[in-house]
Amino acid sequence: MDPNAAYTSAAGVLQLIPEMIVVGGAVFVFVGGTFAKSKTAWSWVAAAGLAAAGLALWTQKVPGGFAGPIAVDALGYTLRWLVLLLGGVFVLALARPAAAGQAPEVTGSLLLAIAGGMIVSVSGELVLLFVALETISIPTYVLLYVGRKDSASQESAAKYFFLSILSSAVTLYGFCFLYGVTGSTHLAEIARVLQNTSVAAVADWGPLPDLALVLIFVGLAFKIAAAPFHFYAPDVYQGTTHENAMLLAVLPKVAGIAALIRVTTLAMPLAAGTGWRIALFLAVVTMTVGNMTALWQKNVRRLLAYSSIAHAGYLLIGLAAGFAATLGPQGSRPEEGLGASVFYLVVYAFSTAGAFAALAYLGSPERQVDTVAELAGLGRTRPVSAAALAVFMFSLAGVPPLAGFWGKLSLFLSALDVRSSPGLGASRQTWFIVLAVIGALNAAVAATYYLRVVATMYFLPPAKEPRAEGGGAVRTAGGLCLVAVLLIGLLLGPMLIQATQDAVQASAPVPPPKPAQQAQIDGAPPSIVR
Amino acid sequence: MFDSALPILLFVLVATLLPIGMLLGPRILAPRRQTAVKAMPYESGMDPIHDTRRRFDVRFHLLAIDFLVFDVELLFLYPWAVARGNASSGVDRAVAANLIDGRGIVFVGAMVFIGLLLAGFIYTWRKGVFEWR
Amino acid sequence: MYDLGYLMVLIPALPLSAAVVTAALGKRVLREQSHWPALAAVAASFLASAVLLYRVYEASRSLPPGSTGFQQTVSLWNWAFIEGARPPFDLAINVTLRADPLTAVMLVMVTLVSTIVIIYSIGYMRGDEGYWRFFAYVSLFVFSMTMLVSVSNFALLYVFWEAVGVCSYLLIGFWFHKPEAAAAGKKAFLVNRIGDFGFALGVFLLWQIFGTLNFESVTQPDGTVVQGILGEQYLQQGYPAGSSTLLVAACLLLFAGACGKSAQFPLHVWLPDAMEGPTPVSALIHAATMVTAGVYLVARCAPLFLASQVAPYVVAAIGGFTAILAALIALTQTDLKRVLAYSTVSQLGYMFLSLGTCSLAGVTAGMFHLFTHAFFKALLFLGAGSVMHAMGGAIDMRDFSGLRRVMPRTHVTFLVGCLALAGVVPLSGFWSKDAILGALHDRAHEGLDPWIFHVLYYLGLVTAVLTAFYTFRAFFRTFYGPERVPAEAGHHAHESPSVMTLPLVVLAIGAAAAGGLQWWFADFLGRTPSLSAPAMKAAGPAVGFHWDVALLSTVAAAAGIGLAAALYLKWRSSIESSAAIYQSPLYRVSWRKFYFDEVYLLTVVWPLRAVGYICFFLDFMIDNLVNLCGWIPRGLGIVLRPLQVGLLPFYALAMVLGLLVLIGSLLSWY
Repeated sequence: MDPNAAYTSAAGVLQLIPEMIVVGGAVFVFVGGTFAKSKTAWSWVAAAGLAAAGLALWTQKVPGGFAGPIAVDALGYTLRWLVLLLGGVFVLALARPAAAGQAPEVTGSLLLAIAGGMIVSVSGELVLLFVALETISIPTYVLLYVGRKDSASQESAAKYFFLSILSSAVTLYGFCFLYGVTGSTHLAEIARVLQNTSVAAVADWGPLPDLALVLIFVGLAFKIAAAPFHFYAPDVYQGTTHENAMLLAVLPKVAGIAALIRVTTLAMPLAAGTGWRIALFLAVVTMTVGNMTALWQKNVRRLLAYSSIAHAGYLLIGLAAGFAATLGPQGSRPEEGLGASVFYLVVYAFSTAGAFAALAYLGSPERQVDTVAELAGLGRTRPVSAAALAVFMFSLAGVPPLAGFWGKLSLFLSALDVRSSPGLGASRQTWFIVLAVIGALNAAVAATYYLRVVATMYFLPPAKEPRAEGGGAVRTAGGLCLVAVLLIGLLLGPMLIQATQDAVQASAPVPPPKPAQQAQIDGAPPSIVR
Repeated sequence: MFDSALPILLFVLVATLLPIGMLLGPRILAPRRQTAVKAMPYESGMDPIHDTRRRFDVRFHLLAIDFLVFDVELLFLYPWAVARGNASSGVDRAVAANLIDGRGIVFVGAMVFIGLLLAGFIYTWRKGVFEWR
Repeated sequence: MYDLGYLMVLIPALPLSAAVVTAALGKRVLREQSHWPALAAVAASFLASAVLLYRVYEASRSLPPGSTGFQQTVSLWNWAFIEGARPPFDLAINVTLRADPLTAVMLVMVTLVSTIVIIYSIGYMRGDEGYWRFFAYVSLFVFSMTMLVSVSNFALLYVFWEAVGVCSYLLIGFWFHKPEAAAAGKKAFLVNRIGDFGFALGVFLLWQIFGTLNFESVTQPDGTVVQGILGEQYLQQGYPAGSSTLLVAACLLLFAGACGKSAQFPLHVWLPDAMEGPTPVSALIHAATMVTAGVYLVARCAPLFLASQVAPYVVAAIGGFTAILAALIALTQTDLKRVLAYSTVSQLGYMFLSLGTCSLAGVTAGMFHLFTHAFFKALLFLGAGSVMHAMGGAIDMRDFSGLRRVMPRTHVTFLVGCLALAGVVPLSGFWSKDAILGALHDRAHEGLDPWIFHVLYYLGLVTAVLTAFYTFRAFFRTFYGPERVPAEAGHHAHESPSVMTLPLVVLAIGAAAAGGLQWWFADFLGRTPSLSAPAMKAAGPAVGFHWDVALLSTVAAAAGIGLAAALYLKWRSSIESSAAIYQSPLYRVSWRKFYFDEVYLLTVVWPLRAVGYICFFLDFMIDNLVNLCGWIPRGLGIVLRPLQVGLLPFYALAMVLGLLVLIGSLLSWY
């Protein structure tokens, strides 16, 4: 950040116009909903709001760096588009449940959550980041509760609520330590201070930066459902609708990974040694727990919940590689792993959202598809839906030439590209080779349960008359995801990987210090904002 | 290296030992005489008249939340109102220190905040929170 | 010269588009009109081939004397590229089409016979439920075959080698609901696999020897020239001596592929069974075109075979042996199409016999025999198809006789075909067979190892006698004697419609007159770069006509025909009632096709099946081992599942414990 620029600036505020449009839409829906009786209009309003926000985002410039607390860089821009596009999918998918119940509340909460996701993408400051994370969480509680009145959904809402605030508290605790060490809540400043690796400063801080990193990591690990902070996911997904599960599986994960990249990897170079160990450990545990448990699931939402846990593990591979590359040796590229994670996020989001959309379409408002067995014979009775669901499953399993294949490929390659630094951390490369191998083994195991779904659809006789009364909106949502998965898989994959890596590289808050600058930083006062 | 970790460890240690000590101490030291009166929830107060886990009307809850909303509004608006006119330590100084682009942005921010609260107020009003039915 | 490249692309492209159109629209839109795309495309392709031939002829004629022959290539796109695949060579496979006299002749022959057969099929296949499928397959075949003879690269040659094999498989098993047809398709496919395996290994070896797979030399962008396997340098200056052992192996492996495709001993067993396919297919693929691919391959690589020194003898020996073996089997077969099939095997053997001389005269003679054989064998097959059509599907000669009055046009055209096959002056078969015998005769008197070619020369003469005999045996049994019609034909045994007999007439004219092209043909083919190599010219004397050979072969043909006439016209009734002949061991050996199928069953199929069972057992064991591995993740899952208790406090506790573990490990690092 330019130290002469104002902290709270008009430029920064103007950067948030797309988010303001979405929030304004939410307010309009909430207030308008108390006046007008219409149930179906609000989804249109939400869609229009998202379209307007997209238009505003299209006209935004990406100068790089920060405008006050807002990170106006390529990473933020990329993630905002991702959230906005996913927001479109969510609005379509939730149109029918909204119309069936309290439409303004559902639609408005959804818009707020989308706005929260977009703000997380651009937060360059801890307080803003925390507020944005809560802007995702709180409407999500409402969404989980509002739709259905049965005890299962209430249980799942309560579980999510309590565990979510616990994780928020842990995150906030980590932020506190970070502020305590660096004396600033601004990421650029934090990064600048934590680049100061003079012996005196490091001795003075002790383990505090690493402690902060652990706490933040754990808090955000809940958002992405990494083990052992994942326990809520299966229960909550199973207790709610496909549409809500889609939201839960995708949006917090995008926000969590975005925040992890922004705060832990890019802004805390000093703690990267702790970072890659934690990320690697959590990645291995999460992948394994997710996949092994998924093998036994009969309920589709539970199956996909464990699948989403396993994918959190894959996502952490890129983060671990990013941390490790931050430590060097010369020529290592942190953006390779981080970009791979962001790309995988895109791939995962569309594949999972598509799978949930397909399942939602295959049910009816009264009775949704619950077990895998209900999908039997779908290849004959509902060939198009079955084919779409099969594509999503293959993509999640990482079968070429679909999107998931490129995602896994780039993640594993980034892990294999990690090199040891001479001296300290000499075993690092070995660890990452082990990580890649475990990742590949997990991917192989995961193929079992994804293919089981496909096999059930194509090789078993039809169980009963398929309903497929999910409605046109959710079908459109699934179709959009299908287009995205096929497009990324067949055409855009390698290009997007490159693009995300470039975006991450362009978004590191402070370029690595040159030796000449190092001495100057050593002597500088730690902060300008106290 | 432990310079700064040491206080934390001490803090954790004390925070753990203190409750344990407070639980263990009376158990060792205090005399125990169990009587019917002693077993009552409020030993020296009023007799309880019903179960504590009693249901009460959800409308209290809504009203309480509404109260909280306006309470927090006050918490934000009070420092803003005070800082506005104070040239030596308020908004003007922040502008002078180049922490804020200008006074206008603070004003707009506060107005948006009030506007959002107003929207919430209209929402609760229309939803009938203030009507005790 | 651009338009020549345009033609080269157009010739295969037209049938391919017809195949796509017929496959896409045939079932629903075209239905009974499905033949139009194939007919139009292949006929146009024939016209283009004719123009191509003319242009190549013009261009080759205008070459200065003593030049190295005419060829032109057009490179379409780069199909595969691996940098430094075998340092210092890159593996670059360009889709390159070539035009030279050899290719031009093959193209004209293939497209002409295809056009005629397609016209014939309009009548023959009418009413079949797979009508559109048939024409889609045939178009695809014509595309593959034209590509096979046009490509200028061993890798692509292999690709289309397999492609024609697939088409053949599809068409043999065209009536796949008939178990014999399905089995015959499978047999053809499997036997061809063996040969193709050899072919593939041969191509690998060529790559190992030469570091390229191109026929012609290619100038790379950086200016260096990669010498093609049949490129100028090798042709003019000879092949490197150091690679001779590898070269022998490569040539023999390539020849194994040719043996499979062209049904030579010991891989000849599939072709007679392939007659289960529709008769036009037998005529087109299994007599005139696809089975000659092996001959084309050897002719194309003749300088290579010559350089290997050993391979030509193998080619000649296998060819000669197959020729007489198949002729002996054909003596006793009663299925008309089978007689013709064994005759095809025998004639292909003849062609290889001729190629085995590896002299310019021998190769042009073999190719000329391929050319004339395409006419008269396609004619004979289509004639047999016409008989089969009239007889309601019966094709066994024991079921009918004396059909000359029922089917006059078929009778006359069949006679022309028989005379040509028997090698009677002045029909085409006489000239081509005479050219082969002449080339053998020359090698037997000049050049290396004359005694081998002496043996082969007399083998060829004996085969000529046998050929004339079995041909006219079939002819007399079918068209002469008392008029007998099988029950399947009902009461409407009749001549076939003119859409079927017209192609017969056209082919008969070709079979009768094509011999006149002999001198032109030899001269023209001699302008192919690979055939005009100095080594080729040195291997044997130039093309010449030998009165003594011609006289001997005419006597041989006359003897065979006379014997057949004596046995089947004069003493027919006594022959047919004589049990002694049918019981004689010689007859039985021929009738059972020298027991090849039985021997293969014993020596190949059963041992393989036993190995298969062992593999099945091993597979079973390994499967279970793998399943055991598969249970490890599931076992882990069983361990992990109980953690999901559903209690909120436990979840919170797990989170906090996880946090504490991480903090603890962090502090332990310090």
